[in-house]
Amino acid sequence: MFKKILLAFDGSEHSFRTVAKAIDIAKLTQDSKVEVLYVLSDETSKSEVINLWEAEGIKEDRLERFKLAEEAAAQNGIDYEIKFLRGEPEEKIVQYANENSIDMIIMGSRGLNPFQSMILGSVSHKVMKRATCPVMVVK
Amino acid sequence: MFKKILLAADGSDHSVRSAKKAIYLAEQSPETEITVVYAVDGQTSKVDILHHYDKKVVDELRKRRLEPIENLLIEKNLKYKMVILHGEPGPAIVDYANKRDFDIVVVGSRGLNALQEMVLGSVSHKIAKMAKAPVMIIK
Repeated sequence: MFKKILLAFDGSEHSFRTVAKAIDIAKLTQDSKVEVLYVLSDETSKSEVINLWEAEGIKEDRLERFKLAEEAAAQNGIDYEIKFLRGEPEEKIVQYANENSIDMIIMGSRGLNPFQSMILGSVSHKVMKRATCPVMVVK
Repeated sequence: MFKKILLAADGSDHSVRSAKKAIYLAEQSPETEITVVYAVDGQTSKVDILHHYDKKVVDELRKRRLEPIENLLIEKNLKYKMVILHGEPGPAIVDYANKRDFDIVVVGSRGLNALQEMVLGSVSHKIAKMAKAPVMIIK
């Protein structure tokens, strides 16, 4: 049922909690694959980087969490692929999911307070609204 | 994995779709229990009582609304529990979920448009924001 899983992951602390859930979901279905999507927002891409891993936006601790996530996936025998996209995170996630017939999107929630989310708009809310597949939001 | 699943349902088509996803998660482990919650808001409550002033008939009616979901659960031989809550669906379900220890909350999305959502408020959005457990939204 959940063969193609999209995990929105950027190495941040709130997105790290989604990794374990993605592994759980991936284990449910045989031959499932986790597509890890890291969307570099326009601000990040303005820094015109050649090597993504050395981009200003990707700090040491994020890199560390990427390594931990990859280790966890490998230990559990999860088939995964990491993809980098540029643009507005919510737009890219929805577009990617809808174009690649993703069965489920798993993403974290930054846990903004009501006022912050009213002003900023939460990425998870926008994805929830516009994706056509099930969306799992992890706190 | 997902041993304690909360399924928010009202018997509508989209809640039956969510039930199918919840059942898929539940089938993986024999110990899993699905708690089906149906929140009856003031409006539904009034309509039910006006049409059927007998309390027994009202209870029966509410149970019957969830019958398609209950049948699916019986068919799959899963452990389940039906709970009827009173109050505004979003907060009532969040309150119920946060007082207990669920591994995941599964909820359907009615797919309201922007205006409807602004006026009515989206139950799935409220749950996704306020529940402590991971929330899976089914379209």
